[in-house]
Amino acid sequence: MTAQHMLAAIAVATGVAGAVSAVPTYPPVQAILLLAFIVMGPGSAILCWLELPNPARIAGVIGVSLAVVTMLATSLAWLNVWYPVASCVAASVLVAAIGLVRLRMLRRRPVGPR
Amino acid sequence: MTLARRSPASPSGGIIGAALLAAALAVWIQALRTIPRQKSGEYGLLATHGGVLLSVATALLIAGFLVAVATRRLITAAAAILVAVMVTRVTVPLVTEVPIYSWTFKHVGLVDYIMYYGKDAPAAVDIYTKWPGFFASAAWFSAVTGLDPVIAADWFGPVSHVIDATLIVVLARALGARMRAALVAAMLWELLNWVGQNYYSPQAWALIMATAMLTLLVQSMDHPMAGHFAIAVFAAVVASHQLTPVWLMLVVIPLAFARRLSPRWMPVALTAVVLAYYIPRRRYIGEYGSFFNANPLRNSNSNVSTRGSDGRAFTMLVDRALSASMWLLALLCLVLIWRKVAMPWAAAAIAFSAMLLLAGQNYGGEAVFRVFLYSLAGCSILIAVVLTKWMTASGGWRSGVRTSLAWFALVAMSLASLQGYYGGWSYITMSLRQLQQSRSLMANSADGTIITTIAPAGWPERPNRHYVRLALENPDYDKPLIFLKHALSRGFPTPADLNRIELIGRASGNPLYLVLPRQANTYSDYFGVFKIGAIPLLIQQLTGRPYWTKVIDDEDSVVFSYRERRSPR
Repeated sequence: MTAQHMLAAIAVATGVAGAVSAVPTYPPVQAILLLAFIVMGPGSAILCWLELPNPARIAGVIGVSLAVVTMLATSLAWLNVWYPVASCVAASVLVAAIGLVRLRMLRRRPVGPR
Repeated sequence: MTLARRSPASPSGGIIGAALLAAALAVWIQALRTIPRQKSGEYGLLATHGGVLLSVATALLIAGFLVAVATRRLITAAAAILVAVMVTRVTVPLVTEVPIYSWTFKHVGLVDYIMYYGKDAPAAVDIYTKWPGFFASAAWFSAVTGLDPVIAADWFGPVSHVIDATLIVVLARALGARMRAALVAAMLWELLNWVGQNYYSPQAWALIMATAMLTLLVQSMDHPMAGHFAIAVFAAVVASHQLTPVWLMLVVIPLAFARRLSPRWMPVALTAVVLAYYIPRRRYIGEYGSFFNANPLRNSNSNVSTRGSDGRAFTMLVDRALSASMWLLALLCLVLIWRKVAMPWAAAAIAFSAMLLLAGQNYGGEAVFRVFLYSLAGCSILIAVVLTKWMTASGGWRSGVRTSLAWFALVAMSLASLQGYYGGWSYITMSLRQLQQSRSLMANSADGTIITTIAPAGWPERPNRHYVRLALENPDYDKPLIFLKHALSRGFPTPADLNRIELIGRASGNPLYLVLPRQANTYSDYFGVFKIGAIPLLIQQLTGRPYWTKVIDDEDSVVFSYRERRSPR
């Protein structure tokens, strides 16, 4: 499994976690699921398309994820379109979908010597 | 950065390390049972029985960690970092009823406002509203999950420590350190972090992104795409916190001069982002103090200028000694590894650039704490590289002696750090009842009400969205009564002081609440702010005056209400 495979799989998993976190069940469990999305979701969906060394990859996943969530939430508040649950589900589905597309593409691509 | 020659991992090292970590956890659990039953004094939590147990747990986990590092048991070493986060940070939410620091609740209040109204609070309320990145993100998180922002605030600290520790490992690796040294760096970052800035706050949120950005910067020379992502992350930092982008620019500029960045136009792009964000907000920065103050000595002063109690003097001495030791040690390590490492410029810039902040900003008396916070990552990495090499350079008994010496040094520095972090335990903790009372008082107060305290202790400040309503009506509604503080510091409150409070109440035409939590006494004793006995005398004098009513009177707080009832015509 390459690093890109792994990041794509993380994007799918955290995307699902983000979407499930919006279902009202038990707030601490929802919080843990959404935390996984916030820390790894958007970053893994973007970085699974790129070749970067491990440190940049891990820092990129965390940094980009937090930056995307910051920009998303700040934009909702600035633009007066505060729909946190809907935006969370939309962002999560998008992240999971990107991860799935990337996994599918990687499966088609023959794995050569690295 | 290169380290010592590789030696095979020792199975016994893993077992001994794990056993020491298990012992640390066992002692910590006993500390958790003990701490809530004890009152701490001017020397803070460590001077209690529970605090001693916490110190023992710390010493044990450091032993487990060093054994794991010396014997190349990397998973055990990583586990030790998690145990360190538990012992030093998870302790707080487990033994307290509500998050520590009364000023944490200023952040909770704005988060509550955004959750309820779905927009930023008006700019006139406070400067936070112009840097909403953290607040909007925290409100989004609580709105989606239904998790009370107070509970989120309680657990934010430990979670941010775990993420930060991960990023320190990654940053060290990006700078060329081997995994053992990277783990040592993360452990040092965790253990030496005495400033208590990783609470539910914009700076803690920005620091996570900043550390990630630094790693991307360091790797941008070989992978320019990393540099592009660094710019994107920087934009989010700019929208979240005022000071962190300034520090990042101070790191970027020397790296750019050393041609260690790609794309080459990155400093221009970062400057453009900063200016685009700051220029429209410069009026608000000006309202909350001068942006540039070129007096490093003055800027390095803390926000409380009194000497205070012996306990406070001791804690300050320990903090200063620890900070100075860390900076000197890091400088020494930089000299030792210069020419032997891949990126000395980068490591030095990350470690020491924050000191330049003192040349231009006081930041409300907090600049010196932020300088330590920002420089901690780079200093930890520099020290870790040399320490790991020194510990593992020779085998046999020499390695054992060096590991033992490293243990003594690390335990001493960690206990100093814990003293800094837990030294103010007597006044930074609050009860759930105080939070509920503060929330209720604010929610049920009419516009124009004044709610004032005499010390930033014991009373959650602005704990819900209603503060915005009160602050819009009267921006100074919860400002401390400076003349009363001065009067209490000189001696005992005079009738003229009390008349002046009543005049403020009458002028507002609305109720005035004077909040006197139990912790105001301990705060005063700790910092030496008021004369001994001044607060009890104030309570006694107000009790006997007309129009003053005790609306809260329990073992945690006394709250007076002043409202002059007009006589019927």
